[in-house]
Amino acid sequence: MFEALTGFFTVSHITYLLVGSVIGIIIGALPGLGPVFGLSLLLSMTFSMNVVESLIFLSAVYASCVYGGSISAILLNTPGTPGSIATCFDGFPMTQNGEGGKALGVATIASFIGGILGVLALWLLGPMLVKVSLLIGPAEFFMLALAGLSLVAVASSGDTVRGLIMGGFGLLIGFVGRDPITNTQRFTFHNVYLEDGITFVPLVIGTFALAQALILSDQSGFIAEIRKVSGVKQGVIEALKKPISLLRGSLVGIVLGIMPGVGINASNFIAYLLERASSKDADTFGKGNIKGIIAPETANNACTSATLIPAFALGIPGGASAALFLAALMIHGVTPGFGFFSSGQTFNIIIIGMIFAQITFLIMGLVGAGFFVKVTRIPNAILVSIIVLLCFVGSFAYRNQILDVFIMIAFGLLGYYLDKYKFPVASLVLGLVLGNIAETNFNRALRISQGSLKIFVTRPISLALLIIIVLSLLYPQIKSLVLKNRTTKQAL
Amino acid sequence: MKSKNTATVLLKGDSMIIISLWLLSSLIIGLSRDYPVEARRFPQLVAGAVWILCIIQMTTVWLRHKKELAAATQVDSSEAAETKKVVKGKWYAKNKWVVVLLMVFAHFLIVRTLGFIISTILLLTMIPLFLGYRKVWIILISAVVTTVITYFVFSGLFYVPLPRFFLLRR
Repeated sequence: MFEALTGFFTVSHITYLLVGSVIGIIIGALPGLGPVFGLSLLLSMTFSMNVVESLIFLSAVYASCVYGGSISAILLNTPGTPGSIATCFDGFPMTQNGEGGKALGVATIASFIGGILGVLALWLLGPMLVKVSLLIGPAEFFMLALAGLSLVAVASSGDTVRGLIMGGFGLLIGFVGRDPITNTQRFTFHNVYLEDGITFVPLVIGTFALAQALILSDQSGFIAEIRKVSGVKQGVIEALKKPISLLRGSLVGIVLGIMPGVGINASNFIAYLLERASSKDADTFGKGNIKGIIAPETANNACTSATLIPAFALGIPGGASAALFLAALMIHGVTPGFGFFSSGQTFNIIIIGMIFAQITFLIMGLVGAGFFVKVTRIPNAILVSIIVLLCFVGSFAYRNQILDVFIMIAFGLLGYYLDKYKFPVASLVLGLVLGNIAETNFNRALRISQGSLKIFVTRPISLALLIIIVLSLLYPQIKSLVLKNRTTKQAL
Repeated sequence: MKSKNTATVLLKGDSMIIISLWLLSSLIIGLSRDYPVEARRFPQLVAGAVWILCIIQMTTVWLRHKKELAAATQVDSSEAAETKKVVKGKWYAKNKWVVVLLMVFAHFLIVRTLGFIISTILLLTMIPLFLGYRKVWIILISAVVTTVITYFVFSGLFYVPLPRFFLLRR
């Protein structure tokens, strides 16, 4: 490993690392662009590099991009990437309380720790984790998606029915377009635009960012009425005092990263909801609890490296970003598979490069946070126009389609109303993210079992997951019954 | 304790959203009847669940509203005065967000004709002016600088073909 470390320190590696990190943070912070856009755009730049330089450069872009998404999520309630949606829930309230700097500090260190643990998982556990993931078939995937969806009950604590309705609404939106199994057009009304379905990125930008701009329109002054900006350092220290949250979020990111199709979009949500469910101070979530930033930020950055495990070990990309990394490998004539993991020096230098990619965005993030946070000193009247501009370019840039802007506006209006009447928007997005995975695997499992639902209870992992789902749904009721009994006994 | 006004407003907003979703789920159940089994099975399952949940929610809200109304204080005098004051003002001062949303929609309609730069500078000038910011020079400079930087970053650096003025199109 020492040889690999010395092999890493070359001028070209460091240059690609720095350039990749700067570009990554910018792409991540701008809504609508995201890691897939950044990686696909920059892949062509790697043709002239060797395989190590190319993977170091792409890793720097990917890691910084996912981190960069949290900057706009925290400061403007506008997720830079879909992987930072859950960061808005507690990040933006902290900004409103004048703690934008602290929130950025928390996000930066959490992203760094998540990223490092993700790279270590890729390095040490990669081949083994892939073998485990091969045990999971469509029935188990459906149950996993269902387990994720059952978290809507957690997301809407105190108002489960409204949470479930929102989750269902998210699923219903996801049905628009071509059916993933039979390719039948559904609910498109013969409209060509709707054949691809309602696109996720404009929907998210509308629901979160435009809705936020509309809310700010009714408020004069500044985002943060408190003018003093709290320290970034304080955020870092406070985050480090929550090792369990840091580990839990990272673990969720690693596990979900290995699952094909799940990726950063779902992992940040699931990590947030699990953190909230397991916290004693769950009632402070959504009001500026730092654990609400730690969980999604560790998860999304841990996920970035974990998604590469099946790609590097089996040559099967779990998502678009992993597919682009795979392309980078193949362009340079490297065959993915077990042999790549045991290729010695080359693989070790890549791993060291990936670790340094996390260190680079950590330094850049901590140094830049004080500057980024100045956005909260812009008057709301000007800020609204800037957010609106980002909403337009973000939703347009995703596919260069003007109708995506219309979708963004429509969901902005919906997001405004949902926020006004306190509907849990998190449930809606979770439904939308997991809907496709749930439906595809539900139908695949039924095809395998020739239409019999028994497949969901005869496979041990699937059955275990089903039991966990039922118990987690019944847990609040059981808990309240036990508490009620205890209170009655004490009263007697 | 909630006043009658607040309780009624919450009921209206809640109901409007829930009824819309109930109608949407009914529509999905109806529309998916002709699809192949695999294409309709899951949507019908989910839409059916949403349909039932909406009815449960509406019943709960209605019962809660009835209870709240019975327990509610008389219409809060300060709230009534506030309502009166707002009603007296112009509708657009009361609903600034509606005007901003209309401006965003107008921008969407004109952007392909006027191009990104002109239409966005107009939008970024109109919004702060409407929201009551009076430092015209700051508004103009920030509108031009933000628009031009955004255009060159997205169009030049990231190859996003932002709409151009219709006379300049090739």
